[in-house]
Amino acid sequence: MKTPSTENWGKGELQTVDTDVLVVGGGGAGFRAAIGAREKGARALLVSKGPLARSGASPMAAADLTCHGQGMREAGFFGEPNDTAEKFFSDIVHQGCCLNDQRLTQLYVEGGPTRMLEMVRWGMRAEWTDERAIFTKGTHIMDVLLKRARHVGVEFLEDVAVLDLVPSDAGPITGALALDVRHGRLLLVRCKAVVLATGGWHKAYTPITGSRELAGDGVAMAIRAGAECVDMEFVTFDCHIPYWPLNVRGSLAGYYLAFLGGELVNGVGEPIFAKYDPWMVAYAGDTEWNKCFYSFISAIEIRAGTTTPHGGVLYQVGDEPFDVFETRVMEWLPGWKYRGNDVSVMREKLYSGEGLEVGPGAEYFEGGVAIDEWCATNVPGLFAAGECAASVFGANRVAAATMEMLTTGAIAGWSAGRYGGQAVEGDVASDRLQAAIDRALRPLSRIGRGQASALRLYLQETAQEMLGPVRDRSQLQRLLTLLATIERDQLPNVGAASPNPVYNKSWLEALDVESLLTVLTFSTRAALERTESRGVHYREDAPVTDNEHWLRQIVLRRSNGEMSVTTRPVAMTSITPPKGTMPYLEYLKLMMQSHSDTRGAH
Amino acid sequence: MAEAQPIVVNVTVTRCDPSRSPVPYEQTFRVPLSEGMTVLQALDYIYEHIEPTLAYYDHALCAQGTCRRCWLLVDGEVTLACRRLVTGDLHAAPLPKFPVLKDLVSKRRRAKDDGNGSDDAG
Repeated sequence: MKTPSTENWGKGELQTVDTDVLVVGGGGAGFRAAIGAREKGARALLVSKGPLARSGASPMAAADLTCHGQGMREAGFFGEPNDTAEKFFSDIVHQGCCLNDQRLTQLYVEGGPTRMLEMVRWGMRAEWTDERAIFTKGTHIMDVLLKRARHVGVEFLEDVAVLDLVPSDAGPITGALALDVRHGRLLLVRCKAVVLATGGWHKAYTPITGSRELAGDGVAMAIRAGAECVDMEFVTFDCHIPYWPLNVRGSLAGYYLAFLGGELVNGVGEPIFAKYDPWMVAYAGDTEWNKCFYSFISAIEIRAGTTTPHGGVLYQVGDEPFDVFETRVMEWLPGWKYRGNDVSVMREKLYSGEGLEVGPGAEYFEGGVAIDEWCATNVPGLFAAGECAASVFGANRVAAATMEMLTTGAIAGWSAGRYGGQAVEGDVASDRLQAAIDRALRPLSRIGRGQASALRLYLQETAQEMLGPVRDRSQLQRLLTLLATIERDQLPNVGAASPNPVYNKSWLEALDVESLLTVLTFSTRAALERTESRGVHYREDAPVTDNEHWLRQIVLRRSNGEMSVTTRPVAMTSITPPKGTMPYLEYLKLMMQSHSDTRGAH
Repeated sequence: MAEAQPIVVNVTVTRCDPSRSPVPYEQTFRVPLSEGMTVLQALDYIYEHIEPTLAYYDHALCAQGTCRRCWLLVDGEVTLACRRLVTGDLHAAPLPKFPVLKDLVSKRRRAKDDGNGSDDAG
């Protein structure tokens, strides 16, 4: 099996690569899907927009793999013996504020032990474990998956961005148009099935905690291909993400501080925790509920305008002696280094008493392409896995996304491999291919001076402000109008800065901006539709969780250029949510309190 | 905490577009220095505000020392652009001994960063 060479694609003309299963995305879900397709005997080509096994959010993960305690013990790890699949399932559904598609949550819980065991067989080591998680590094997980993928004969393309899915005349997806970013050449991949594993749209926000390539392009191309999206209104923000100074902006090192005590103070010196239920503050501080709760209370302050100079809140050590605090920090950030990066400026800010400017940073996107239990989308030939797919976690994620990428990745790979074995070989529809090529080349036909990055910076600031953890109706309506205006009036004129296609960042950025507009429009529309507050979605104008009317998913799709919005009841298999309507924080507390007796961060 | 008059640094970049000329040239940009600014962020500033044709590997980049794709020669020293702080005027060039694809982007990667084996603890 030979890896296609990027050098042989020729100049200008459209080169073609054939495979059975095209996997789009070079993070953990993509790798596990490609391995899964090979396990079903299909050829698999994994196309990564960035560095192989160093792309997307996976290598950046801290990283924990969650699995119920008994399952961990099956895989040879020390886990809580009394923790069962049923308990873990119930906890994830309550963390998701009962909006999870329980069929998909079931896949996550049931698949965990097997996925964990195979990772161990493939060489994964744990650094330490707790009651229901093992802890390792995202880079280590990716190295294990890369080695396995090479072993089973997955083919790879690196620094190649897939731009559009292309169907055959009969309808199913049978190809994709891609751009070799380094050499500036277009490429047609012909295939029998596609697995999307493109992650989230972190690039729509600032600061960015994921990698820069995460522009929601996979979800956007699925939307163009007619895919349904659900749960698009839910975005999890990490709390305590540094906003300043620049060298730690967006660093996950800040998130560790959320577990280590300290206090949050707003821009006018008021302690923030004191304004909230002490039990919730303490419980959130011990678990990964901190993302949802601390980001919410930080965003309330930021929206009230009582911010620090760079738009955040202040993290301070508080009354505790600094050396006692620092001793605890050293267990997590030894020598004030985070994964080799010097973050000692955080120490300077905290030791001097100035405090560290922190706030919410977009981390995980619960929503995305709707999938069934086989990880199939509504578009024939198109499957999805990992973060770009919805909705294992419902309205709020606390359990690990790294396990989602492995469980859904494996299923999507098998499904696509099996489908690819049955699918009839079909060439791509020439008119659809031409439309994709025209769209890809449009930025090169109108040379500009940096509108793409200016627009991206504007979108990042706007989304952070208007589509953060706290929203309100009139602002969402304004944002929706704004996005539509930009798409109609500005996007067609966004050009690359130079006609030379070789490593032309502004070309790719112009295409990324189009993807960002698409996913932000869907996300804003869903947030506007959901006239209640739930999980990571809080509406100032509708501050209650409404289980009478809103145990429903919002389904969005685009056909003939028009966005359609419908709702459907969320699928429940065994957990029945509480009835009635409750103030947001009361419901959140009830969900926290519904946790089983298993301890640990999840 | 009002910002004082920003300090401006000169960032000189060795540029080259082999499709036009194989001869590299130097271009200097004036970048306002912010607290904690990294070389990568200085290049971002140039790309976003001054020269959108500047090529440096960042279309897919973690910017936090993990993906190890932003190697540059900064003031003669091989370094990751995302880890090196800007403290004053500086000179950025592509890695020596690697053929240039465009500006600061090399045709090849360092072998030790090729797929697995790269250690993010370094």
